[in-house]
Amino acid sequence: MGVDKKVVGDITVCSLGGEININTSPELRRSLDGIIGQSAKKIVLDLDGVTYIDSSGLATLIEVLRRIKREGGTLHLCRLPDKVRSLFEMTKLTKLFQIYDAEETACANF
Amino acid sequence: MQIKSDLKLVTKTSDKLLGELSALNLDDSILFEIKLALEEALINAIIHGNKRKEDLPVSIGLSVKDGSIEITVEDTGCGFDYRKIPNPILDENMMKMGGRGVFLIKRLMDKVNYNDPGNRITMVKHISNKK
Repeated sequence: MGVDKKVVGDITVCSLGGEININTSPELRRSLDGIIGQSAKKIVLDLDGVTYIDSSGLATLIEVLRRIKREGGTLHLCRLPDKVRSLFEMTKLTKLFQIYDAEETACANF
Repeated sequence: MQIKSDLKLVTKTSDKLLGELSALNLDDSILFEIKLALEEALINAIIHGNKRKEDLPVSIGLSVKDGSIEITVEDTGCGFDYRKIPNPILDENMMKMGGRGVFLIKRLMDKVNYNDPGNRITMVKHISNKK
């Protein structure tokens, strides 16, 4: 599980990679909490490198979304691999998250 | 096989069991679904069943027959009422953190049964024509 961060103007793009599971979710939450704590208000999570996500990973993303909203920010997701997207559709999380096919459109739609 | 109730063993255990299925040459998407269902069942057994008491065992069974894979996961807990799990895709439950594990298992596998009192789950995936 890895998080690579880049800042494009006032947007923070975090590229996630590897497995988001019961053992790696706490690390992801800490990383993203740190980024939100730095007053980032527009955040994109690029999930292209995610090879696996379980229910604790989905719960972590919901927790991150809740925290960003509480802080007055906005979260966009982009580039969900097919397997990950199918889990979002299965669990109806597509209704909670704003999801884009490309990073450019995720950034352009704040 | 049996494992201790240690969450760090979840991935290792599913890797091992999926390795035993490698000769079947299953499609990646089927393996992904089996891995996720198995890991969710192991996590539930360790956290909710055995209450993270490391010395308590979780028993796992795997068999392939008649075009199906059957996996059982059993803990030593007193079980739970699997009929009363809130539906995580209802609007009022969408923002809740938990409650998706069993839902995912039921959606990813073709047949899912619990024993009474609910400390053993049996999951079946049909693999005929899914290679």
